[in-house]
Amino acid sequence: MTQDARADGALEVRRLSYTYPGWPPTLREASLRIPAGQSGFLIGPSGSGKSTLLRCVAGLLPDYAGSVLVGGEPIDGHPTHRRGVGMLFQEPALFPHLDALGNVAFGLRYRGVPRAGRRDEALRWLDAVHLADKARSRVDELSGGQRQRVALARTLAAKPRVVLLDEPFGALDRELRDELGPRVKRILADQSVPALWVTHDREEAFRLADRVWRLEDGACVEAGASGGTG
Amino acid sequence: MRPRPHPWTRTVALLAAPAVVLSLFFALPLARTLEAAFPAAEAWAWFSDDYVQKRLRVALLQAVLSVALTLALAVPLAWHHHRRALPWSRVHLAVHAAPFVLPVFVVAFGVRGLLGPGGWTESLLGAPLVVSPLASVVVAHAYYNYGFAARLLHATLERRPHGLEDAARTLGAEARGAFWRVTFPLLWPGLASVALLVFLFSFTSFGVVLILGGREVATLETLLYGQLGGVFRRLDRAAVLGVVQLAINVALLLGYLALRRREPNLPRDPARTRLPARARDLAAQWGALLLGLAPAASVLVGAFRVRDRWTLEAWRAVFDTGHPLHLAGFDPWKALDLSVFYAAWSMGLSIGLTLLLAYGLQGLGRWPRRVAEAAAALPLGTSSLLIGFGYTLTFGAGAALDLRGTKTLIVLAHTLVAFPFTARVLLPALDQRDRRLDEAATLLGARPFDIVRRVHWPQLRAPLLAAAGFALAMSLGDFGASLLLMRRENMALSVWIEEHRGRAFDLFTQAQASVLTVVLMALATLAYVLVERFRAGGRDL
Repeated sequence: MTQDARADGALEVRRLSYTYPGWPPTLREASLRIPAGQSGFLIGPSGSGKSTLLRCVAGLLPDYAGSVLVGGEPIDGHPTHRRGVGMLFQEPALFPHLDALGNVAFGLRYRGVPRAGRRDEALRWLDAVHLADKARSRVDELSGGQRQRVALARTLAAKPRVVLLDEPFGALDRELRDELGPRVKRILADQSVPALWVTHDREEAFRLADRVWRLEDGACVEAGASGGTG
Repeated sequence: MRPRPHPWTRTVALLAAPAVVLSLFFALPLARTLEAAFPAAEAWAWFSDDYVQKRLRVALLQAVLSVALTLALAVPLAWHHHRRALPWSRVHLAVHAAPFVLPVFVVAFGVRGLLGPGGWTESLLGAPLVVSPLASVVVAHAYYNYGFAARLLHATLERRPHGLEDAARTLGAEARGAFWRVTFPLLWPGLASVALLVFLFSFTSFGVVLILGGREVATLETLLYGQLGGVFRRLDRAAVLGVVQLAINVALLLGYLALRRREPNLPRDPARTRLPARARDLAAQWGALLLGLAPAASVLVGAFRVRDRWTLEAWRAVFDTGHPLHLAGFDPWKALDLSVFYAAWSMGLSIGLTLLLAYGLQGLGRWPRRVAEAAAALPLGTSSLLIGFGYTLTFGAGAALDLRGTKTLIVLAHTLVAFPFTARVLLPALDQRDRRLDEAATLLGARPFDIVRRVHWPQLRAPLLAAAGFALAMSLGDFGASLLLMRRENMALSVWIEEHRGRAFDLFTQAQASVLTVVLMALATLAYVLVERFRAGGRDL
């Protein structure tokens, strides 16, 4: 399996467990695997540990047991900024002191893009999400959907090896979610990165996912492979 | 939802009293001060004189040093309480902040009793830690402000954007990079506004500098006060100093408000987990608290310990009018009675005016409301001494309304000193309440008075009591206006303490001043406990 993973740049979570101090275990040997270019969905009720699993994979909760591999290489000992994991949060978490362009350009510095080239590259990413005309807009001037698209451009501009999406459209209305979901999935597939989505919306999961897992008692139970639209 | 406009008549009726009081007892005295300053060419020439300029440079130096020392104490304290899960954190921070509302004598006597010649550190180490007037003033200002600054900084740190820091780290930033590129740009206006506020308080300080500054350190306030004493009163020079002081205060206040406006509206993150407190963190927490309490404790001990022995003699000399060392003409019960009288009346008036203003403003549109709120904040930029000076010009000898020596004038001065504080607590509380509740009550048949009593009062009770505590503490501890306006027959405790201090040629009279300071400290502490008990949603000034 590791040989395959290395070949296809897959995200692999192996027997991952996590316990918040003073609480019963949230994750108990959760395992899943998502090949590059595919979207895996994790569903489950609030408090089941979906976001915790994403935060462990991102290294924001580093004290987990088990292993996370990207392209067959374990990244467990790596701090968040060296994992090559991008994350989209439910609240877009845009930096309010920067405009849309500044937000997208934020990660380019760490990717080693020279200062002179950052603006053009950030603009290209904004164009990819159809927001090039909003480059100089303050983040509080953008609509909810536009903010999420800027956050997506910002995440992808950093060229992550894996993208995690923590209910990224949870704060948007149904119509906008139905429009954005397939579009974001297509962009992620174009980048050939594995994407792990978290949602509590089963319908959305089965409509978009290549694979679906349900978190039950802290473990991932395969709920199906839909082939996904979009 | 926009507030339902009142009929104009009701708005005018509600705003009439605050408008009259603020015009007559705030705007008019300031106008009289300006009037006295601007034709005074000789006084302006005196102001440009080397002597005055040199003293102002020292005032600037002490203010800068006070800010540096305050932040050196406040930043680690705020960071420690932000970073670690410390038990009783809120109570500890409140105790640290207490010197800010305690009478100035607690701070000045406390610092001197702890660190100065003959103080505790000299007994322990063989030499005092603070000797020069400049160092004494700087340390006293730091003691006065550090807890207040720590609490503001702590509130700023509590709004630290952890979600944004996480986002920055997933984009490749190290923890330090995330702090400097995301957190610092968002929090620096808050940090800078605290530094500016401490500078404002230190640069315009009066009581601390008067008591500890000696001949070496002065501020505009103490220079102004100096022009009013002695045989040759120079009202023109005092007016010039008052105008300069006012201009600087207003500029600093505008800078402070501009910085506050730049603070992004970041929500507090209640779910954030703090690092557990280790034994050494708890030791640091309690050690800091003990250090913070030490100056007040030295005042307390000073009231019971004279010439190296424990005694109640100073208390007898204060409260027994027949005691041979009792200060002639001083009736402690009358002074206490007057202190409570001034505090009670100024509290009632400042809260009454604020409520009338708050309800009146709701009938206005957004812009008139903003202008009126800004005008209501103006007294914050005006020191107590300046208000007192304005009153001596406006309601003194030969004035159309001669209120010299009346309790009314003192109550009004204290009201104006307390008013910006009550306004800062009550106006937002009334403005931010849920107006749908009014509409629901109206639909259920409640009349306007019932709505105020049954809907507003339960929502406003806590901020109202907190505002009352602030007003009481401000009046009890007031020193500047009181020193100028009170006469022997109507002097409150704070001015009597100054009378004792002025005669403190021996340790025994000094102990009597400490006794009165302890009494005043007890009253102010009660008021402060009221503030802390009901502080609305953690709102700080």
